[in-house]
Amino acid sequence: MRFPILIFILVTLSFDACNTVEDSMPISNTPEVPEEVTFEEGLFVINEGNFDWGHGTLSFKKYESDSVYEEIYKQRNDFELGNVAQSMTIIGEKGYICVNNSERVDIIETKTAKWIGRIEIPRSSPRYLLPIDENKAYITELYADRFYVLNLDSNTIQKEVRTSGWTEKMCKVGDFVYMTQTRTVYDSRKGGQFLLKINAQTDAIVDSLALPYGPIDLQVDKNDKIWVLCNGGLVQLTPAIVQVDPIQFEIIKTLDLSANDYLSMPSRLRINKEKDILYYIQKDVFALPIETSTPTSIIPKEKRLFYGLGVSPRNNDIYVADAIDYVQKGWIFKYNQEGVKLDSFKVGVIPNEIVFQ
Amino acid sequence: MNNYKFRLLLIVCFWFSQANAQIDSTTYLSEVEIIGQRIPERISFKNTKIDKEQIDQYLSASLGELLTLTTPIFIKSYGAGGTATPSFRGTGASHTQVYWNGINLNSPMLGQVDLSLFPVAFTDEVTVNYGASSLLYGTGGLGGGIQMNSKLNWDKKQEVIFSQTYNTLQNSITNGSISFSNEKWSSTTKLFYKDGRNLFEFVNPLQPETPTWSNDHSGQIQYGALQEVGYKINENHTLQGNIWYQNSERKLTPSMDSRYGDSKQGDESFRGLVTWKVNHDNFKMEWNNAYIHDYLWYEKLLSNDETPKTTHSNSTSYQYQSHLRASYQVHDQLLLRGGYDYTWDKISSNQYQASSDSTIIDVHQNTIDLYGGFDYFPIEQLSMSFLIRQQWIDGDLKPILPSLGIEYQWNQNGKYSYSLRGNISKNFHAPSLNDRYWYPVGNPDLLPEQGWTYEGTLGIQSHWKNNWRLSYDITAFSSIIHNWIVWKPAVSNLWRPENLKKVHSRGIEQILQLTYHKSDWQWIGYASVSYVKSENLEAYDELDQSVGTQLIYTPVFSAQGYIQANYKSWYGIVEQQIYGKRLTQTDGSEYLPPYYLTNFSIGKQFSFRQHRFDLKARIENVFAFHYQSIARKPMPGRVYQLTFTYKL
Repeated sequence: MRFPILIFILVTLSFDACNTVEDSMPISNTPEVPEEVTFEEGLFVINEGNFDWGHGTLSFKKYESDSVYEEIYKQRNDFELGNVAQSMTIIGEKGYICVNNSERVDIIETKTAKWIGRIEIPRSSPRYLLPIDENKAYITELYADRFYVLNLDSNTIQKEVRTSGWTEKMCKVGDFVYMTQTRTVYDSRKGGQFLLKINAQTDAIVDSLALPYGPIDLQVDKNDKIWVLCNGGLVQLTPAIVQVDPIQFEIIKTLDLSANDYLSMPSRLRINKEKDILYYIQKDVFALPIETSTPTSIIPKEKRLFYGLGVSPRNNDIYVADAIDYVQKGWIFKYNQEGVKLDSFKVGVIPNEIVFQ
Repeated sequence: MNNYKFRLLLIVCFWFSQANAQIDSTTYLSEVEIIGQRIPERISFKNTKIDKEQIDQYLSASLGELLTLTTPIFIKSYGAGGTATPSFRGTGASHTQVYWNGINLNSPMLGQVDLSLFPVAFTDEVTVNYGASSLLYGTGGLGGGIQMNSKLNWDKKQEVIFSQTYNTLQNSITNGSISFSNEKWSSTTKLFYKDGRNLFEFVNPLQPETPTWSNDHSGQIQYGALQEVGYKINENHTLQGNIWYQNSERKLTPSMDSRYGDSKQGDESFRGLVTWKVNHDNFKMEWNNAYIHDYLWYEKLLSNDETPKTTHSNSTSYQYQSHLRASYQVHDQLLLRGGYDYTWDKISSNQYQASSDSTIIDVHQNTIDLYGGFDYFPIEQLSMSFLIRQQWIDGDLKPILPSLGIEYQWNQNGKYSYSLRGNISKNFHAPSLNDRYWYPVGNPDLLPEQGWTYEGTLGIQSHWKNNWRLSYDITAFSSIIHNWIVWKPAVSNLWRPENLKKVHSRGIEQILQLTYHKSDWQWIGYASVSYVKSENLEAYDELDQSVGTQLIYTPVFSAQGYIQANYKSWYGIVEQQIYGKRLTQTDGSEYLPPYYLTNFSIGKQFSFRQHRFDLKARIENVFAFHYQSIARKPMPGRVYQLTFTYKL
């Protein structure tokens, strides 16, 4: 009975893949970005993409035009950004994009969105990057109890500094770097809610200041005072905004933001161009002039679920992101300082950060 | 006649008996009784059976792999060896209920099952209940139900089976079973061990310079043991005990965006079941009592230290289930049925309270269902089936679930006989315990998902006088499900379940079977083709673009089929699966392209005295078609597999 053996051999040998690996990849309906378009005079939106199976995307909107360009990273490079794109920091002509779940920082030339290089940090969850001097930057980290010192010349990690929790946002005032530290909801350790003070020369943590639960974002005002947004945690429900004197390293004042349940957890702290009005999301978008203690709601939530927030350093326009159901393309709404809606445009899946050029 | 021919004849006879059964509804009942000695399925509701002979072809496969080849159920797979969840008639994973000898196996925490965890070797018969056909066994099967049933060997012979499979993914699957029986006792012991490395290389176009990566973080160790004992008290009463232990530990396949995998998952379960069966000519009863213990853990490495920091979550569920199912044939025209289903759940999880609180919280739930109904045959050609089911969860009265089906058959003596079936039913799916209690987002106020389903089937059977047999079924169905539960962020990145969608799922399923038998040749052909449109009807707000768009990861078009040819001791099987495009975003802004998978097997049986051997070579994905089931999860190309089976 040779017939079946013959079929077996024929089938095995005579066929090979009838499609290419590119043919199996997800197909997006995003319009093509014309070759001549450059990404200047505008803002970038960093869209996270779905955890694990989605992909982060970069959108770009010119200030003086209605054109929005989506998936510019993928279109200019023919490969994808990875998933849970968390933030982009522009240093000179380069953009450093922290891609959380893909455990790396990708570097692009911002003008062309062309990929330049990559810093891979196995089993890390990079969050934000801050340049410290010409040669180095710090990268904060979600899970691993440390932050990374990046050598900007070689694009390698030159040092890892131990912390005791989730490091998130940073600022540099004088010779010191200030970094928020909190704990994730999966972390059962007590305490650990700090503002860390780091010697920018030696990278050593020299001091830590205990803060209300959940320090998650910070800004520096025109008087070089640091404002920290504490989300108050899921259980404690004690959200607050704290003003810190970086020199004395002590709390100047604490402003309680009331929360009835975890749905009132605040997020995102931004500051205007003059550095005298703070903005944050607590369902609505609130404005808090630094000289007062009474925040006012300037953009009511209505049916929206505000996720990302940005304040333009050019003209103080306020940009708010809504991710709809988090499994479709999200939207950005633009308002003026009085909360009057000026514009809206569609971006990528889960718009998170708005980066102004 | 050697045994293999006998088995083939059985397959053919079974199909013929099914064909005949649908022509004459009164014989239908008794046919099924003779084959399974079980309470009959409802007439005029759609169900299909995958029998022992076919299961024997896939001894090394998981239930998910078997269903994907032989039913229209779409199985979503998170990579080789990864979680496999069903989408039945365009519904979600928790809308398919899986039963093992009448016991529900859906996780009370997740509401769904992972079909990669059930080895086909541990079941003797699989019945697929489409849509409301599953209401006979319980609620929640908005898409349908899958039954894995055991058939004890009472033929007073000893049978030993040993099977070893090896494939080019470096997976080794070993099965063994031994069964024997006498007048009073029957025992079957089955063992299963899978060491799957799921290792293959793939080209990664998502990375700079399109490197070739190795899928080296999908390894899996799965093992289990099943002991089944039957005791015949007398002619009409049987006691049966089943104990099933299984453990699985696997690395979770990372997306093609990440070079390194970092997560592992373990699933351990113990299931013990005692059944009392009463089998008189006109009265049948099954009383099942089961204890189920599931332990689920997940671990993720969080740092690159020598002893990395990890996150660890674990949940334990304990279940007691009791089911009574009875039928009584009042006279030739009337069958009554009724029973109850009771489930007690207890969950201990570190996910049901704040992590700052180190105590483990316990959550309990009591569910009781009562049901009753009848099958009625007013005239020979006409039959109808009615069932009504009422559920209470922790004392709360849930919606009452009536279902009614009617079947008419004609032209029974012609070249073709026809049957027309229609049914209407209400079903609902209660929120899972995670939906209700997951800290802090669990939503105790969630409403059950519910809706009415309408279904109609035209069936055609051939009665040719030659060696060919044909049967064809075309079914149309439509169902609107209200309060569809979706997890959506409520506040920055905290996802919370809400009754957000109204989903309309409707479609057409066709099944064609063709067999040919002449002297040394047997040909069996099967094809099923489905079009299912399943879309959201309600928007969250004016910006939501998901309305009128197909649900994500649910193909509109799918088809599967196989052709099997047997010649003397040789056999060959070609299998084909086709899936249309699947959206990955609710606004349809991204989709996965269609894919086509072809498998080919060839085998030969040998015998030496009473020893029988079967050697089978199989190629999966013959054309090395590149495809993805979940976006950006790598899937294997062509896989070569060899199976050796010994039977005594």
